[in-house]
Amino acid sequence: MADKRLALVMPAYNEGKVIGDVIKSLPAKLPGFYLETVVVNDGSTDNTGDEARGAGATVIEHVLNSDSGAATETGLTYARQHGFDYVVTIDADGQHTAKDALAVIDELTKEAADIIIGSRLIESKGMPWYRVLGNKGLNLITFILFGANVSDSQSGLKGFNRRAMEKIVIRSQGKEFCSEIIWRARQQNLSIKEIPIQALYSEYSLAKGQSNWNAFNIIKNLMRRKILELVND
Amino acid sequence: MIKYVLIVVLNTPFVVIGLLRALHSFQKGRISRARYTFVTILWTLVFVGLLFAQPLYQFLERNRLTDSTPLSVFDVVLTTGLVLALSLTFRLYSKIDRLDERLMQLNRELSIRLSTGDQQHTDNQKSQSDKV
Repeated sequence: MADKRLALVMPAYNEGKVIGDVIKSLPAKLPGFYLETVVVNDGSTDNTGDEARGAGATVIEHVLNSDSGAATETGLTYARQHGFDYVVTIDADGQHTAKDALAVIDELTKEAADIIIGSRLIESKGMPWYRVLGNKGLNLITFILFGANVSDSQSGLKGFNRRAMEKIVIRSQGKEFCSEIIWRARQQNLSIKEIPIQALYSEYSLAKGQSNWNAFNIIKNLMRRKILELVND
Repeated sequence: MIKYVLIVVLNTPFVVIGLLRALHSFQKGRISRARYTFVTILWTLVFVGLLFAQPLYQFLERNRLTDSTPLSVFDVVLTTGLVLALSLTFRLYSKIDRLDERLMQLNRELSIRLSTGDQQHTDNQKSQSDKV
């Protein structure tokens, strides 16, 4: 039987300091799989692309800086075009461990659900309280706007099978894409499973990550997306 | 009375165009049923508001919900302008959104082709040098 094709998609913007180590920490080979690490370099002004290439990843260079939602969709488009069976998205700042990525891959290949979410909030040890609060607030907003109830709507560690990959097209360009994925999954009747993961917070990832103030931007953009879908003709 | 007729006559074309555009888009499969229903309800509400402008004004005045003077010719012009602005805003907003999406698709396709094209180019070069 032919190997299943698995893509590890990593949207990245100015992650040159850490991306090489993050890629090297992930498995380069998995038995029974053709594995490819795809970094979508979203117009970084540092050496992110070179570091990722040096670590052995396929690098897609965004011509225009377009934000994380657009970069994730580029990774998914690449996977669709190149016939991948599974995609796992991972943050490029080193927030996720290889062990958790493997756990998501394991659930995905067992076909436990169409989408596997690595939830940082099932056991939120190690996450600063203000992050817990911000993430829970965004979960509530996701539930109010889209009726979808998940424990960590903003997690960057997600797995998609082929069915989910084909049915979900992310239209949001910014950080609100995480909630949009949940929304689209609900629209398309895709199943979601959450598994607990650990989030590693370093000084670097805390400085790079979203602030709680950004939650207002996310809410504004989600509402805009919802209204646009109603009035567009 | 004539001013109330005038407001309906002047604004009906915009409402009809809005409704027909929504129907056309729905039939072509460009918009979902939910979106079609939303746009149709919105334009119908605008039309009903225009059609019953006089009883509406009388109701509001009777219940002391408005203190304005009855409809003037200027009000007719102003209302027509507002309906036109609503129609244009709908069109522009959706056009900008579609343009934004197409630009993003272009960026995406170009980025993938340029990045993977480079790789294919390298592979071709490698296989050619292997043959030599």
